[in-house]
Amino acid sequence: MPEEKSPLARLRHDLRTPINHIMGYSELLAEDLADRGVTDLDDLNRITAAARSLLDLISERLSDEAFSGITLQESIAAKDYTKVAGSLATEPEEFTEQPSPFTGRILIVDDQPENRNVLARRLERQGHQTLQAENGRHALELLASEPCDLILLDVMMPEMDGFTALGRIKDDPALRHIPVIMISALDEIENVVRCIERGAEDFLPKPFNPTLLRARIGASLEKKAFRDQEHAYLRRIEETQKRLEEELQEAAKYVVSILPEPMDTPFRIRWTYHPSTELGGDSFGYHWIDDTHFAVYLLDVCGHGVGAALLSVAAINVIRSGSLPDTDFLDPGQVLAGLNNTFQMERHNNMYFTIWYGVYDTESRTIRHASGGHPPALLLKPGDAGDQIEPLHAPGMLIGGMPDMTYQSATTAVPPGSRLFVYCDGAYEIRRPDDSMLDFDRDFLPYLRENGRNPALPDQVLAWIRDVHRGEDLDDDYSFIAVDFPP
Amino acid sequence: MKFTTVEVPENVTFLALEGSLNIAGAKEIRAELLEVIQSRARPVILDFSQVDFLASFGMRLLIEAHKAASLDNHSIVILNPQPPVARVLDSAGLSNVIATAATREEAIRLAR
Repeated sequence: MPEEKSPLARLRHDLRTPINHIMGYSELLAEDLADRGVTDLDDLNRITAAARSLLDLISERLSDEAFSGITLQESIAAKDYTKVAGSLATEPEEFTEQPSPFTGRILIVDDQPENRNVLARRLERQGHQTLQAENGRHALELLASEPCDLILLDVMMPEMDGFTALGRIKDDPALRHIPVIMISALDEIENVVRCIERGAEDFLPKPFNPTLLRARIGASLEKKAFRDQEHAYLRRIEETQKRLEEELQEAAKYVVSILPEPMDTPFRIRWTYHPSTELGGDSFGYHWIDDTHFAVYLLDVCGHGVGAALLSVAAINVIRSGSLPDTDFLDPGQVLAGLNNTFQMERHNNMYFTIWYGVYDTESRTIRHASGGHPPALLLKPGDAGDQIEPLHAPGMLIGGMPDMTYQSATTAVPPGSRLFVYCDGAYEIRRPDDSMLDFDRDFLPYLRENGRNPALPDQVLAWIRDVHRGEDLDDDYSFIAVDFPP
Repeated sequence: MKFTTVEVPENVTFLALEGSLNIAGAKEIRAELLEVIQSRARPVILDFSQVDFLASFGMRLLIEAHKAASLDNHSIVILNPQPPVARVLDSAGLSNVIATAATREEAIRLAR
């Protein structure tokens, strides 16, 4: 706390206290009388005026200045505040209390029961609720259990003074948002400055001027109301964001859940899927259409995020369930034409997708395939001079771009021991740190020819392009399926 | 991504594009490009000599451009796409829908 009170200051404080009580009660009494229609308040006004001149006398005759050397700065500050208080004191008093537009629960902390009483009565008249505490310690005990919108805190109190209590309040995360207005005599202004530096919102000089009291309390409560509202908005935003994130995670789980299980017989199939954001625009699948025909397909919606994921899930479910009207799912060209007419971009938020769709015939050992704007699947074939890579070309327009497109199916023989790679462009459209792009013919194909027999190729390619990109965060979704045909 | 508009006597609009036609590039030029196509109401030649990359959003913009031109019974022609871009155009099936030309004369002939 402020430095130990000088004997002179204590004398001023002790002399002023009863006079402040007289003024406070006189003003309350005057307001009560005014409420009842009594207009002749001369006697009360005389009492108030006399009390005020007594206070002036105490300030003038018992000032530190009058007794000893005092720093210039303090003297100027004290004079300024005396001036302010003087001008407020000469304002015509309005003795009718209006309920304040911002009301709240106010804790009054003062060791003088009369001070608390006067303040409480005045505040309740303005529509506030009040709590009372007789020192800092008592105030902290109350605050532990009682909600509170504003604290009026006397500076000088026994047991725990206002400065210490203020420090505790401002250090407590649960309390620090409550505005504190310091109550002090004008010659304690040095202490008030320290309190404001420590986080007090404002100060009220004793004796209380009703207009000033009302204005400062109103302003503090209004600020707190806005702050509380802000906090409430912030909490709501945080809750909404949390819920959205949870829902996005749910959606991401669903997108992954519809991807097929790896397979071991009659073909060994392994795949790796890595969306660039939580929700990717890639999806793929494979299933038996009948006893001898096995479909493999991979699609890539332009973009990623919620919209792309929704379209990719919708499209993959159409293929999986075989639900396109008048479509033979053994004929890739028909499937793509049907998808193209179902998913026109104008009706799907201007999004399109690319797809590779192939059907393997176990009897003829051929694969019939078509592409809607998708990079060709690759067939790794054993040959006399080592493995050869054959791109399975059958170029067609991307799905959703233009209505009524036709898609040509092509048929390719699959020699025993071949390996089929189906992937999206995110597997090779990779930017190097020097801004150059990985090249499909010069980099991607040779890499696959060389490493194509790695059983964990889908993972290996992902590690490779991350290395080329020099970072974990790829710009696009990554999907890669490897199908091993029996020897 | 940027483009410049050049008028040529054959009554076509000639646009020279420069940069990467990826999501950022497509966003940068989309509104202006479609505005030029719609307001001129004449064939448009897109010079791709200086376009080094074409990604999915760029293809979407080309489809939009093609559709905008078709509404006026005009066409767009892509001039001189570089090999990586040409491969993307082929692989996306766009070269079946939007004409590509190797030379300026051929582009003007195709632009009707």
